[in-house]
This record gives sequence, C-alpha cells and structure tokens, in this order.
Amino acid sequence: MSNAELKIDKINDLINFADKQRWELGDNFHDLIVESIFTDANKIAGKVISSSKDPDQKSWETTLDRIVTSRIFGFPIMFILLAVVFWITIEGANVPSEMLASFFLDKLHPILKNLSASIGIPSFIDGLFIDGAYLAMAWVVSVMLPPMAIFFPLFTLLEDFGYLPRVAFNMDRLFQKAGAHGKQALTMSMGFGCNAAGVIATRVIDSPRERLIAIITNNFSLCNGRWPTQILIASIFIGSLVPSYLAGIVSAGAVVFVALLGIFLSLVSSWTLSKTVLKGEASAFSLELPPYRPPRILRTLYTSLIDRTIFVLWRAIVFAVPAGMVIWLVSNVQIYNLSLAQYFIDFFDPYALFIGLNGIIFLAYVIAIPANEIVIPTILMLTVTTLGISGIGGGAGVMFELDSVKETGDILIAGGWTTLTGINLMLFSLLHNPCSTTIYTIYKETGSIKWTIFSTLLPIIMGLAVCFLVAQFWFIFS
Amino acid sequence: MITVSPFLSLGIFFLLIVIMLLVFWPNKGLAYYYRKLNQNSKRVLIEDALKHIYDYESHKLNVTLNSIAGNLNISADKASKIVQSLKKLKLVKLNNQLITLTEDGKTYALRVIRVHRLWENYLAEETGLKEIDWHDEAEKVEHLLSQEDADILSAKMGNPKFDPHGDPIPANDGSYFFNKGKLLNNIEIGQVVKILHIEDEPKTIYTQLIDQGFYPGKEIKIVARSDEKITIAADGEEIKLSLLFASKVSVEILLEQEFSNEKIKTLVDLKPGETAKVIKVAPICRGQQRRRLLDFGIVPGASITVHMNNPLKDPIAYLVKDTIVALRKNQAKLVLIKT
Repeated sequence: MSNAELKIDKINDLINFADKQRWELGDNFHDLIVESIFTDANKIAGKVISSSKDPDQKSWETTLDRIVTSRIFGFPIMFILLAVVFWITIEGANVPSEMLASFFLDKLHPILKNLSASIGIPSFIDGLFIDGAYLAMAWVVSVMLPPMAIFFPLFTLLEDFGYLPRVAFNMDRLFQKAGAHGKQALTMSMGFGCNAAGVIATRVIDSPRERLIAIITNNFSLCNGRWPTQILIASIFIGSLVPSYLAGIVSAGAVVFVALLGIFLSLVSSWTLSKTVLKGEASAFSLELPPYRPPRILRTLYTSLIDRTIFVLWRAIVFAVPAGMVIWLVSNVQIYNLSLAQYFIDFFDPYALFIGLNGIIFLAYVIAIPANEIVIPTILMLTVTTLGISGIGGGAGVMFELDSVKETGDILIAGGWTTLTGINLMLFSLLHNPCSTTIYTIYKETGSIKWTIFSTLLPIIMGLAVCFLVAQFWFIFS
Repeated sequence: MITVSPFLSLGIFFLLIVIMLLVFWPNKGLAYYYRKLNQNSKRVLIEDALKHIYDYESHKLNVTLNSIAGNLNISADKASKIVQSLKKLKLVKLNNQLITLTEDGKTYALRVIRVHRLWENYLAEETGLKEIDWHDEAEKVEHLLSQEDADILSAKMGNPKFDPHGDPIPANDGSYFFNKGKLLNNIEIGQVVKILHIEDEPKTIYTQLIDQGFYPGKEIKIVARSDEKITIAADGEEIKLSLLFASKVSVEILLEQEFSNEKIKTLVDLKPGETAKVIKVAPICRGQQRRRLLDFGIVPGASITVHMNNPLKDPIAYLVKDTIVALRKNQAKLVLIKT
C-alpha cells in the first residue's frame, strides 16, 4: 500500500468515526458550539470592558424613549410628525414644481418646437421626439423631482435621528396581527412619497416573508403622483355635490378616505397573503432600536438626494421617454382615418363604462404607466382629441394640464364623465398596477418574475372588482 | 355600454367569488382534493405501503393486507394489487398471510423515510410553517424528490442526523443509529428523563402533545402514575397524560440528574426595569429565528433588562449588551431566564 493510499484510508476512517460520533451527540451540537462561542466572548468582554456610565442614572435617551413610546403621547407624536412631513412636502414642492413646469413645458418646449421647425425637421420626427419623448420626460421631472427632493431628506433625517425605528416599535402589534412586520409602517409611509422608494425601503425588513408582504402591498400607499389626481377629481366631482362652502372640506375628506382605504386594504391583503400564498416563506422577527444620534444634515441631504431621489427619478425618466413616444404614436398613427387610440377606446368603452370608467381612462392607465403624474394630462389630451375640441391643448399626442379646475371639469364632463366616473377614477387610481418604475424596482428587489407579476396584477384585479361593485350599486340606486 | 341588469351582474359576480373560494380554499377547496387525488398514483401507493410495512416491522407487528388497506385508506382489493406489484418488484416476500420486506424493499423504504425526515428538517429550519404542518408537507414531497436531490438537500442542511421530532435521518446508504430509549408510559415514579422523540402520527395526539409543551430535548420528572394516567412535572407545571399519549413519547433516563421543578421563567415574566440572566433559548426555537436571537447576544449567561413597554403591549424592548432589541411576546416566551 502506497503512502498516499494509506493517508486516504486514514482520512476515511476519521470521517467514519466523526460520523458515528454525530449520532451519539444528538441533534443540537451546532447550537451548542455557537452558544459556547458567544458565551466565551461574553465572558471575555465582561472582564476587559469597563463602562464609565453610571447604570442607575437615566439618560436623556431613556427619557425620550419613554415619551415617544408612551401610551398617551406615542401615537399623537407620530401622527403630528408625519403630518408635518407631508405638509412641508406638499407646500414646499408647489413653487419649485411650477418653476420647473414653466421652464420645461411652457418655455423650453415651444423653443424646441420652433427650432425644429426652423431647421425643417419633419413633423413626424418632431412630434415623436419633442411632443412625445421630451414632453413626458419633462413632465415627470417637474412633477416628481421637487416633492421627492423634499420628502426623502426629511424622512431620512427622522430615520437617522433614530425616531423611525420607534414608530415601527409602536406600530408592530397592529402589523403583527396582519402577519407583517412593524417596519412595514415605515415602508408604507415611504410609499406615500413614492412606491418605488417604498419598495427599496423594505430592505430594512430582514425577515423574508414579511419583506415580500411589504413589497407586494406597498402599492396600496397612495403615492405622491396620485395625490394631485385624487385632489383634482375630488374637487370636481365630489365637491360639487355639496354647497360651495362645504366643497373644500368634503372633497378633502374624500381624498383622505381613499388614502385610509389604501391603508386598510394594505393590512387586509398583508393578512391574507401571510395566511395563504406566503404561508411557507421563512419568517423571523427582529427589530433593533438604535441609539439616538444627532442627524448629520448635509450628509443626509446628499445621500437621500443621490441614493433615493436621483435614483428613482432616473428610473422614471428611463421609462417616461419610450412611454412618451407611445403616447404620441397611438394618438397620431392612423389607420383608415382613425388613430390607434381611437380603436382602443372604441373597443374598450363598453366594458369600461360597465364598471363605471371609460375607454379613455383604460388607455391612459396603459400608456401612462411610467408615472401616475401623467395620467391626468394623458386623459385630458385623449378626451380633447376624441371629442375634436379645438383651441385647448397642443393637439393629438401632446399632453397638457389646465390651471383652472373648473375648465378641467368641463372637459371631463363633456367627455361623458359623471359622478360615478369621478368616484371610480379615484378608486382605480388607488387600486391599479404600480407604475413601471415601481414594477421594475419590485423585480430588482425580489429577483423574481413571479412576485413581480403577482404584485402587478393583485391591485388591478382588486381595482376592477371594486369599480365593478361600486358601479353596479350605483346603477341600482340611481 | 353593456346593458345587463345590475342585479344580474352582481349575482354572477358573487357566484363567481363563491365558486373561486370553493375551488381554491386552502386545504379544503376542490383544487386541494383534486391534487390529493392525483397524488394517489401507483408510485405513491407503493412507497406508502413500503413505509407502512417498514414501520410495522420495526415495531414487531404483523403486516397483513388489512393493515395495509387500513393504513393507506384504500380498499382491500386495491391493497392486494399493490402487494402483488411489490412482490413482482421483489420488494416484499409473502409467507402465508404475512408480508415481509426483502433487503431491496428495506432499502427503498429507508430512502423514502430519509427524504421525508430531511424535508421535515428543512421545513423546521428554513420556512415559517408550523410544526403541525411539517408532517403533511413531507408526506407529499417524499415521493417527488430523487435520491440526488435528497443528497444535495442533506448537504445544504449540514447533513442533519435527526429530524425535528427526534427521529434519525438515515444516511444515503440507509444506515442509521438510533437510541430508541424507552417509552414514557413504562417509566417508574421518581425518574428524571429527557425526551428523545415524539411520534408525529396520529396527528391529533401529536398536536396535543405539542400544545402541552413537549419537545425533543425537554427534561421531565415522573411524579405519579396509575393504571390509566401518568403525571409528569416540568417547568413548574404538572401535566397528566393518558398512557396512550405517553406511549407516543420516547425518553432517555438521566442518571444523577438534579431536577428542580421550579417554574422556569421566561422573558415574558420580567417587569420593566428588572434584570435577569439568560439560561437558554428553548429548543423549539429553530432555524433563522434562533440564529437571530443568538446574533443579538441572547445566549446562556447574558444579562438582559426590560428597557421599555409598548403602547400596544407587544413587542417589549429589552436591553442586551447595551443594545435595545424589541422582541415579540411569542419570541420572549422562548427565552428561559433566572432572576
């Protein structure tokens, strides 16, 4: 027997011996090893580390912890802080949004048009790239950038300071009952700013099942791009149902109702998911409450602008450019004197009206998939083109918005909208597929086509069902 | 617009919902039964029969056509057909009415058992399924996994030797070693024993034993017994078990073991501001969840303090090694402490 063979023989003996020993050792020796390592480390640390802190003295951190998680102040503090963040976002975004819009849409767009006309670019190319691609991109930038640039840094500041983990701590019971993780409260709040950012934020949830739940249900948080739609449609169709002095409060109430409905549905679907399709996914709760830290404002500004705002915005632009072209093409490519859009609208109108929407809304939600912000401009453009109204907007394929709520309302009513259409649009705006940026982000985060399709279809099916139910009951009672 | 009476359309809608629920309701819907029906393929029946024969043989019971039919829940006619095919495959021998496994049959049975137990181990360690669901899931998977799949799975799990009920997992050559221990119903008063294994069939008994807090590795003391019942003490409680139930638990007698039946406290019993030392994390806490707790430094000997309550009572925040960690009640219950 050669030396090498002898060695192998010995190794095999050793392996067999070890294998036999494992039967004797029983089941949990891995644990025992890990535990003894931890225990030893603990002993060593106890011997060599000394702390200057007096353990009996309550630090300000402890006091603050007691206040923000107290039964009396805990929730009010949370609601007030979140409300302030949203208020600053909405108020603060108005001015820069208008500035960007007036620059990109009102100034630069005509300049580009004139330029292309003066150098004789064919109207087809000009329309496709300037009215389609450029306009969609400019629109997305001017409506998305300011609120995100305000919301994300504020949110990150709260997170850095250490307050947000306390919110997760306070809210966990509620989410536990829904089979989810307390940190979903944070990703949901983030979703109110932007669903794509909310989906990315689910990385803080380290339990696989709860993270998937948070990703799939994030779309139920009414995002920044949908608030203006809700407010506009509520003031046109809900506010008009009551005397004018009540109109403001009633339409605001309707919007809040839709947002709360979103939270409710988010919890209900979390519960259903955890009990059915996600039952077998691994789940392990953990929540660390980091110490309070003075926020590093400049750093936070930088990272939240680069990591979150620009990141999300870039993804939105990447999708907005081709979608802008599609929007222009479907309105301008004609077969037998009818645009593609018209074929689509005519085909789907009967079905859409049956569930209290209309064909234009269907088409708008399909082609305005890159951002919820451009749904209303697309609807307006399609309505005006379909009705053949002249003098409003920039022609077929050119999205537009009007400053006046009343004029917008007049166009929609001329397009056949009723109160039912208004209500159902608000519901459908809450319950439809996530925007393409979010869908792509879900794919990136889950790495699974199955879950991406699932999270896309779930809200659409719910939305169609809800609109259907509302429409049928509306037909019965009117 | 489609003109259908709203009443009719609503009627159709709710009818569809009801039908969908009937079909897809988990574990009760038609889709579930359909899948179950399809599962009763010949291969499944053959493998289940082999498992049954192996099980009876190892308990020194006689295997007959009736026992097979009863155990697999099939007609005697079908059972006889199965036995015929088993015989043709040279997996069993027939001797009068007695059915015994051949060497090949034994190897085959052990292969199926290996997959079953490996899968139970996988479910316990890597998924969020509850212990009562492990067995049923493994019953399905044991027929689907090939020998190679089982080897890969076993390697990934670190070649576990025991399933979560304490049963040995045969190696891929079918060999295994098993400390069978004694059945709990045969133990005398005053003995301190460690639970080695809890039989997971029938499910009703298993579920009750699990609910009463039995798990492999638990140490208990027998304090009283009569002809029908046996009383055991553990964790400060006394539990009465019928002898039938006790016969489903195998134990190992511990010699010279001090046994104090003080109620073992868990983190849940700790009040705000109180500090305690961790004894251990309960063995039922497995897989990711266990690693998470160990990661936080919740290990034997660590000192842990209640940091603050929660406005909704759950979870509670604890201070471990200068870090604040929130644990839900169902986790805190798994951490045994002494004050």
